[in-house]
Amino acid sequence: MEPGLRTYILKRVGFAVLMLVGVSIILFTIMRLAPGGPEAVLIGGEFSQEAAAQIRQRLGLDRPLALQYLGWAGGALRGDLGRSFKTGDPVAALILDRLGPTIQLTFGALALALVVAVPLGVVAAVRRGTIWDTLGSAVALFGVSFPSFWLGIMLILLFSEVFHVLPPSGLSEYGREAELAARVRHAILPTLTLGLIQMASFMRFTRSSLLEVLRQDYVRTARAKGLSGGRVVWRHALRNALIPVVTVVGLSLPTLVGGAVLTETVFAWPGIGRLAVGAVFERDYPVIMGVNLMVAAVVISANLLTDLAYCVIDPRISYR
Amino acid sequence: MIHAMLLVLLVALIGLTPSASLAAGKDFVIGLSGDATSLNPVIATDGQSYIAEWPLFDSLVELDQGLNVKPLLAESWEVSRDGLTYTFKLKRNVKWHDGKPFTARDVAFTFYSVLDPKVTTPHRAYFDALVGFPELTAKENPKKPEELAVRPIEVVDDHTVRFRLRYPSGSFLAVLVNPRAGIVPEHILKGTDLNTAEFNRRPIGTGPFKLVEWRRGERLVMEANDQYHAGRPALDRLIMRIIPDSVVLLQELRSGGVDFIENPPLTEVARLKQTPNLKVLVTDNTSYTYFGWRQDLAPFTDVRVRRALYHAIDVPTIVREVLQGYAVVSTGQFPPSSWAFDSSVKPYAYDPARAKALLAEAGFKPGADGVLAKDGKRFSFSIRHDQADQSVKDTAVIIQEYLKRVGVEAHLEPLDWPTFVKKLFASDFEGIVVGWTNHHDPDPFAYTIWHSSQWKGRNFAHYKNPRVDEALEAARRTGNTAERKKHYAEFSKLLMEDAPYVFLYFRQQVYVTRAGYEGFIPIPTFGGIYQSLKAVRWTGK
Amino acid sequence: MTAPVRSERPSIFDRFTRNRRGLVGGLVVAIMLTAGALAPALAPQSYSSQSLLNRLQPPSAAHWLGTDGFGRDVLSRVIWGSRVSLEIALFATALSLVVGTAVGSVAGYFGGGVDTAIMRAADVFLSVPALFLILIVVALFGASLANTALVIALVTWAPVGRIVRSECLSLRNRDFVHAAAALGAGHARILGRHLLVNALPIVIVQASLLLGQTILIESGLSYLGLGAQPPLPSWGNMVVEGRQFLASAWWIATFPGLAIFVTVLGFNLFGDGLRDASDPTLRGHSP
Repeated sequence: MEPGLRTYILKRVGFAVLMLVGVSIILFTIMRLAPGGPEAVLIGGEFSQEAAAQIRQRLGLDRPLALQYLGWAGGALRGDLGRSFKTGDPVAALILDRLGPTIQLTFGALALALVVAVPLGVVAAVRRGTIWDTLGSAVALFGVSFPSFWLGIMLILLFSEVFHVLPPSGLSEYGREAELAARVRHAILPTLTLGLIQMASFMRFTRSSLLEVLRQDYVRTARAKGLSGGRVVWRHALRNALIPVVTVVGLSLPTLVGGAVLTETVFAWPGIGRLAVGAVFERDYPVIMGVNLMVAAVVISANLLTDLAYCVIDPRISYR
Repeated sequence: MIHAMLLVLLVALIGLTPSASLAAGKDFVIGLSGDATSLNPVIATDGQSYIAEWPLFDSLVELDQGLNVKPLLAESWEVSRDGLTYTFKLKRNVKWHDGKPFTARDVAFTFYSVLDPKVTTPHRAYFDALVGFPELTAKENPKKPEELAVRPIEVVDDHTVRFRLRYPSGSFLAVLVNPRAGIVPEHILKGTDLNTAEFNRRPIGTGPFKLVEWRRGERLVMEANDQYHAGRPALDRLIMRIIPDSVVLLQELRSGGVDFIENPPLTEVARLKQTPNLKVLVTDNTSYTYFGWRQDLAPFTDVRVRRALYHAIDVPTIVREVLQGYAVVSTGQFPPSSWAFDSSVKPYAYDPARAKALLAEAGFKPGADGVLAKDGKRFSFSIRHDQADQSVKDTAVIIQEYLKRVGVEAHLEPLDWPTFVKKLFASDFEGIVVGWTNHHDPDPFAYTIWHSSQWKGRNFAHYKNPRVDEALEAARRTGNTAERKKHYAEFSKLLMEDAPYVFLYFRQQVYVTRAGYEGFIPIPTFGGIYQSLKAVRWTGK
Repeated sequence: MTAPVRSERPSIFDRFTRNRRGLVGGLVVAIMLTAGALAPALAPQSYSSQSLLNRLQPPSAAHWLGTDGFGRDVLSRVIWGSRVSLEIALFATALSLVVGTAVGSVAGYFGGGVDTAIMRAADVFLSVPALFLILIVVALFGASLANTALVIALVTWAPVGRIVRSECLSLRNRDFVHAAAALGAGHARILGRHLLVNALPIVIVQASLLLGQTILIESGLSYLGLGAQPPLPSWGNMVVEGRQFLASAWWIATFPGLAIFVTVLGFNLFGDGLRDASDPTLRGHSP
C-alpha cells in the first residue's frame, strides 16, 4: 500500500472518530441543557422532592456534566452503552432487540421503493412529454405532497376498518411469530406507508437525474455523425444517472437505521424509532445517546467505506 | 425487476385473507397505550405498571364493588379495641410462582421495604400510621426495625402477622390493597437493591397469573397460575399489547386484534354501545381534574376572585357536551361514591354575571383591551398543563375561553410531563389544570394535598387554613368511620367556602370489551376492573 | 449560466409563464400566502371562540366547513392555520437557505481545506436522523415557533449547502470570475455579485421544495403532540385533533388535511416549474 494512501486512510478514520465524538458531545449537551429530567417520569404521579433527589443521585445526575459525559464515553468505548434509566435494561440489548423489526421495515420499504421507482423514473424520462411521463410524474408529485402518518392512517382505515383484510398494527400475533404469512400480513401496511412516499421521491429524482444525463449524451452524440446505438447510449446514461440516486439513498441512511418514527408510532411497530422517541419523552439519556451513537456510527462508517472504496478502485483520484 | 414485483404481489395475495383471532376465547388481549415501567409493586408508580402488576401480585386484602375490604391473602383479621393493633391470619398453602411457600415473613419484608428510606417508593406516606414511622423513615440516620423498642410489623408465626399503629387510623385496612400494596417475595429480594433488581423485569408473585414474556414497548404476556390459591383463573393467557395511537387502538378492537381497551374517545362510545359484538362497561372513579392556582399569589389571595373564577366556568356543560356525560361534576376532594362524600356541599353555579360582579367588587375594572385590570396590573396569567394528556389539553382550552368571557386573560403553556411535574412540585406556576389520581380512602390524599404542613409535598399550591388542618388531623386520628365522616364533611364545607380550586369533574372509567367475555367487576377506584381478571371467562357468544 | 442575449433566447420569466405546471403551482402558493397574510381579515370568525353547544356541526350556511370538537368554526381555523403553518415554514426555510447558501458558497468558492472542514461539519448534521434531532429539541425545549423553525432549519440546511457548494465549485474557475479578480474585486464581491447571482435560481427552486417539506414536518410533529400548541390552529394539529371524529364528523380533519396536501403540491409544482424554466438547454415547452 502506498504511504500516501495509508496516511489518507488514517486521516479519514481519524476524522470519522472525531465526528462521532462531536455528535455525541453535541447531543449530550443539548439534552442536559433542557429543563426537567428523568426523575419525574420514574416517579410518576406520586412525586416528591426527596424521591426526585434520591433518583438523581442514584442515576449519577448530580455529578458535574463533564464527568457524566466522560463516564458515558468511557463505557461506550468498551462497548457498554449503559443502562436505560427507565427500565434498567442494558441499552445495547434494547437496541439490538429493536434492530430486527427496524431493518425489516425500512429495508423492505426501500426495496419496494427502488424496485418500482427506478423503472418508472426511467420510463418517464425516456418517454418525456408523453402520457406516461405526465401520469407518472403526477402520481409521484402527489406522493411527495402527503404527510406520511396521514397515509398510514388512511391505509389502516381502508384495509383494516373498511375491508377487514389486514391487521391494523403490530409485528405479529402472539404465538404466531414463526408464521411467515402472519408476519407478512402485519408488515404490508407499514411497508407500504414508508415505501410509497420514498417511491415517489426516488422516482422524481431518477427522472430528473436521467433527463440531465440524457441531455448531455444526446447533445454529444448528436454532434457526432449519426447516432450511436441507442442501447449503448441508454445503458451508459442510466448508469450515470443512478449515481445521484445512490447518493440520495445514502442520505436516507440515518432514517433507515434510526427507524421511521412516524410510521412506527402509527403501526405500533417495535422498532428503534419508537424506542428513541419514547426515550426522548422520558429523558432516558443513555438510550438516546446509545441510539444516536449507533446511527451516527453506521452512517459515518458507510461514508468512510464508500470513500475508501473509491480510493482503492480508482487510483487516479488524488488524496491528500 | 418484473419478477420482484410479481413476488411482492403473490406474497400480498397469500396474506389477504380476513384476520383470524387467537386461540378463540381462552386468551384475552388487552390494549394499552403505554408500557409498564417496572413490575415491582413496592417501587412502581405509573398507571401502566399498576395495571400489569394487578394480575401478578396479591395483596393482603382486596375490594368489593362497594369499596369494602375483603380477605385475599389474609383470611381474617382482628383489630384491637384501641384500634392500634391489627393481627392478620394468612391463608395457608399459598405458593409463589416459583413454587416456594408464602409466609408472614414475606409480608413483613414487603412493608419494611416500603419504609426503607433507601428504596425509592411513592407509597411510603400511606403507612404513616405505623409505629416508629418517623424514626424508620428519617432522612438523617434512619433506624433499622431491629433497633426499635416496639416494632411496627411482627411475624408472630408463619401464618400470622401483626401491625402496630401509633394512632388509630381508620384508613389502614384500605391502604393494604392493590395496586400499591402487593406482596413481594423475601426469598428472592432479600439483600438486593429493590430499585434496580432484576426482579423488576422478571417478577414472581402469588397472583392469578405468571409473567411469561415482556417485550419492552411491544407486549406483556402472562399465563394462568395453576397453583393459584383461589383456584385457577378461567382464562389461559393475558396478552397486553402496547399501541400508542389511540385511534389505531380502537381499530384493533374493532378488527379483533385486541379484546379490551380502556378510555376510548368519548364521542365513539355511543357507536360502540351499538356494535353487536362489543360491550361497554362504565364505572365511577376517584380521580378528578381541576383548575387550580397558587393560593399565595395575588390576585388569587382574594376569596372573591377565586369564587368569581368558579362562577365563570360552566362545568355541567363541559361534562355534558365534551365528556358526553361520562363524568360527574366534582364538588371537592371526594367522589360521590365515597362514604366521605357530603351531598350538602354545592359547587358555585355557572354565573358569568356574578363572576363579573365579584371581580368588580374586588377592584377590577375592564381595560381598553377588554381585559380586567387593577392598580395598573392586568388580570393575566399562565395556565400550565401536561402537553401529552388530550383531555386535560381540551379542558384547558375551554377554561381559557370561559375566562376570556369575563375579562380574565389566561395563556396556555403546555409542558412536557417531566418539566411540568418539576415545576408543579417546585410551586413554579400561576394557574394549572391537572388531576389527582386519588385513593378510595379519603385520608391519604386529603391530608397530603390540603394540610398546611405539606407545602413541600402535594400541597404545592400553598393552601393554608387552620380549621381545615384541624378537621384533617381529627379525621386521621380516629378509627371510627362515623367520626371520620363528620370531620370530612366539615373539611369539604370549609374547602368549598375557600374555593381554592375550580373543582371540575370526576371522569368515569369507560372500558370496551368483546361481548363474549363475562365476569368483569368494575370497581370505582383506579383500575379496579383489573382486579377481576381472575374471574373473567369466555362464554363463546 | 451566463446572462442570456435577450433577442435570441427567451428569459426565465418567459419560459416559466409558458410552463403550465409551474403556473398552477404558483397560483396555489399565491392563494395560500395571501390567505395567511390576510387571515385576520379573511376569517369570518375568531379561531378560538367556542360554542360548546354547537360542537361537531356539519358544513352549513353559518359554518361553511362545519364546527369542530369545541364548536369553533373550521373555515376560520383553516384560514388561520395557513398563517401558522406558513409562518413556521417561511422562518425555517429562510434560515435554512441563509445558512446553507452562506456555508455552501464559502466552501465551494475557497475549496481545499476550508471546503473539507465545512463539509465534514455538515456531515455531522447529516448523520443524525433528522426527525430525531427535531424531536429532541422541540420535546425538551418546548414547541414554540422559534424552536421548531430553528431546529427544522438545522436539519435542512445541509442539502442546500451542498447544492450551492457544487454550483460555486464549478463556477469559480470561469473566465468572468478571473476577470473580476483581475479587476481587483475582493472575495466577498465575487461571491456576492457573481457566483450567488448565478446560483440564485437553484436556491429558489430549493426554497420552494423546502417550504413544502417543512409543512409536512410540522404536521408530523403535531402527530407526536409537538407541533403548534392549542388553541393556535395549525393544519397539522387540526388534522390530529380531528382524527378521533373521522367517523362522525369527517370535516374536522379532512379540510385541513386537504389544505396541507394542496399547499405542498403547489410548492412542489412551483419548484418544478422554476427548475424547468431555469434549465438553459431546454427546448420547446415542457408539459
